[in-house]
Amino acid sequence: MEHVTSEVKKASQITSTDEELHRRFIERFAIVILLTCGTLSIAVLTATILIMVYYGWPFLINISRMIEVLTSPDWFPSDNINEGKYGALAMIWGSFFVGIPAIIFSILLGVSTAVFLSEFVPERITRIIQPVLEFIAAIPSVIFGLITFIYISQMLKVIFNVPNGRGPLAASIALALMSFPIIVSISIDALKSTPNDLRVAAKAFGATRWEIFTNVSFPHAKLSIFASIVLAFGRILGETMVVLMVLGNSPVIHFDFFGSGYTLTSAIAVEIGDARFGSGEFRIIFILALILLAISFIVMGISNMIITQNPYLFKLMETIFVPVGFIFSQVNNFFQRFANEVELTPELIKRRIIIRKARDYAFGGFFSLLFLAAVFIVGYFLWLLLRDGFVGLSFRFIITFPTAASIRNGQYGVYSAIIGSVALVGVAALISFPISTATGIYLSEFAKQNRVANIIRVSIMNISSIPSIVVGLFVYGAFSVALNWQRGILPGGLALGIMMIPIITTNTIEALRTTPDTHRISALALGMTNWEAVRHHKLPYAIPSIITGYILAIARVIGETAPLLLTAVAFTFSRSPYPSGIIQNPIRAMPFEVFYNLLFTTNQLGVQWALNTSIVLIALVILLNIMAYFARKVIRAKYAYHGQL
Amino acid sequence: MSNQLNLPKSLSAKEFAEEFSKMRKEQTRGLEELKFPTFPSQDVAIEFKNFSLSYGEAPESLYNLSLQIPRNKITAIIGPSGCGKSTFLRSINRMNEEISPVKIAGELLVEGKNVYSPDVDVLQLRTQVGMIFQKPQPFPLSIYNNVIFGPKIHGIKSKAQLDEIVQKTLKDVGLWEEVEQRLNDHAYGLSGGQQQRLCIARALAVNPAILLGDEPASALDPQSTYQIEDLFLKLKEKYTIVIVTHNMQQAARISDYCIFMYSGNIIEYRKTDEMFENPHFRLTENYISGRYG
Repeated sequence: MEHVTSEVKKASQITSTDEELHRRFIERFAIVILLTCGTLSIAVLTATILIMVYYGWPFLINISRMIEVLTSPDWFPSDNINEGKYGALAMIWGSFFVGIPAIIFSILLGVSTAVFLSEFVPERITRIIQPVLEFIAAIPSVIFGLITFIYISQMLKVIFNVPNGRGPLAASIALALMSFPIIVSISIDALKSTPNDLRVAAKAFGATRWEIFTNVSFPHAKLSIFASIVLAFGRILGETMVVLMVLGNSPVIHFDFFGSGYTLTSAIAVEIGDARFGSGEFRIIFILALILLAISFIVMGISNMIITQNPYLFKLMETIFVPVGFIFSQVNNFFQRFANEVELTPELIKRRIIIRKARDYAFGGFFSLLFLAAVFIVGYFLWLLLRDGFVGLSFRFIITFPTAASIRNGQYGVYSAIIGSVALVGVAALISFPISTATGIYLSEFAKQNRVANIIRVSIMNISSIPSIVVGLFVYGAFSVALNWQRGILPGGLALGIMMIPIITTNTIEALRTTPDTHRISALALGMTNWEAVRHHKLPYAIPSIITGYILAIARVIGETAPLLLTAVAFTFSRSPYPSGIIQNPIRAMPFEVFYNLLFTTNQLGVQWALNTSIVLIALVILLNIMAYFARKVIRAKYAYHGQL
Repeated sequence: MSNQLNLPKSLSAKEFAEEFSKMRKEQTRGLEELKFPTFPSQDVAIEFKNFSLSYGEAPESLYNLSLQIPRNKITAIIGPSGCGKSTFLRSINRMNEEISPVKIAGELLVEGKNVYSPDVDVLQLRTQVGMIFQKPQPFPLSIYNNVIFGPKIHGIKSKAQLDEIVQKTLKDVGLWEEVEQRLNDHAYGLSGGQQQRLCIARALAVNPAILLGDEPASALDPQSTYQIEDLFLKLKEKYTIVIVTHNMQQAARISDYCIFMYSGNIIEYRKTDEMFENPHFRLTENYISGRYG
């Protein structure tokens, strides 16, 4: 007893030494830095909204003008906001006229592929096919624009016998092909997370794969599947390049699938070109962006409410579906009344088994057909692109710096575009890597459930839902015009950097979440501060995944075109491939080179140039993805975790 | 698992059978040779004839089993972990194949029909043989839809008939009074014991001849375990029941016959009370008395 008391006394005498106070200070300092980086994403989101509101203010305070914007199809913007007509209904119409068929195609392809891969084929085949889908998801949107512009429209032209296959249908198909991998990857994860015990229990009943899907895995995964569809719809509505390239950009409302059209995104990209700063035409663009932002946030909010099973949303849906459900149950009851009472005899079961197996194969076949169709269509168009893109492609193409003079000699190349893209991505990386990594570390390791952390989380989620053209417009409004930075690698890199924030932050959080926590806990037990424990005993093991995330984020933004149109690129040739400054020095970039040459370089040269550049761009994206794969392998070996998991 | 026989730990079922036959005399403490119970053919529900099973290329998990399991009785399978109890049980409704490819020798007859013959359809077999798992596995559906899962896939569409099936099976498992008012609620809202009885009701709804239970009460609290045991005692009038259990008292309480397995072999198979009163082999005695396991 005596002995114990003296020990306790000793413990109570422990006071902080100077050295410990110093370490505490370091920890506090580190947390402040991390938190500051975290709050930057709140600032980005707030600033985006504020810039739109600031420039659009004269419209926002004028209610009759706003009603006109939302309800009138007449679009004649003028210099003075008191003159002209600012009806944006045609753009809103266009966004949904393209978006709704696109999401229908996307659901057909995406859900079928997910169900086929998770329920009807063995695991190892799924593992082979998933990288293919990831590759489709990684193809830059401008390449889909080019494919639509040349190949899809050509195919539709032949099939439907129309003068020109371009228009809403072609755009819908391209957007569906772009967005279905989102539905697939989220839905497969959800379906696969069905407890295996449940599947085994259903198999012990002699349930077929289709019956297991309808009774077990679909009820389990349906919320995630719905959420993925909503997310894909958001991505479709926010997409710029495809619609910009194939819709013809004129504000008309009609039901013609081969007519021309306008969407909110393409209108922003086009109209900003000749809008004078401060004019009515200039300000209305920010109102269009606000509408787009509102749609994106609503879509993001709905998908989030589905996942978190928000009771209000579910009540609302129930209320909406009460009549539908009532009719459905009445019809069902009606037929059930006429159904014969049958005895469960072995003969009946035997007869039913034939029908059940037939149904199983029929649905399996249906899903596999849609899956094969999706992969085949994308594969076919990519093959066409490769076939035409390699024509005339040589090493000289990569090192040729195109000028007006060289074009006349038929010499063109992608050198300046490569320099531009690398510079842009470099600036974006410099801005985004430290901030996003710090935010991820803060959210994962230091923020528990406090309010600031939740606001940061919500901000990052919302930044990820902002359409890329709106990010471009934000940088354009806040820096290019207000600070007179104009176009250059700094504003362009800033826009790309903002787009990287959510990718890297979520990846860092995920990397830390999947890293074992035991070393950190042991370090804490030895008297380390949480910062020291994280810094030395958690972060090193997460580094492979974090660096992989960097490379994948670069692969994602290197193909982005829409924000560059407003912030970075030159529509004319410059004298040198190297930018002489970071602001007010527009450059060329690879995705822009594809877009510009395809549409604005008026002869066969332009198309070939765009095709060649596409190949280089795709090769670069593939290279980055391979690098990410090997980075993970190599660095993982270096930072291998030797504890027990 | 402590090895009671001074044999290397990683013996296959076949090697164990050979080793065990050498020490039979010593193990039996000089008692006369034991015979497995036999039954008149109309009372045999399941019959194993020189049945061996192995997963993929691995050595046999079950070796040369020959026995008859009687109709309308509860047969319990006991034995230490890894002795092949679950494999034994799952070979009856061919659920082993869902885990990995299997190789079979010999015959396994359910109601006189070899279930491994090529013309047998597993879907058909599994409607004849219901199975209940260790953890309750209600599907993510309402209580009502859980019960009619089986009948519905077999093509019973009449609402009146389905209602009747739900009422009858839920009454059979003693759940009707508890859930009568909330048949359309999600099954996950039920307690563990209720969920397990729901799963039994779901299995009964397709009129199986045989019920297999893979430790059906081991994840439940004592009260629910008691209810399930009581239920099995009632159900054996209509069904042949085979359960795997880790709980010796449970085997003693509810089973009529008891199988003691070790290393993929059946060491002892006889009436439960006889086995628990007077185990034939030392191995059995030590297991029953809790000296290893």
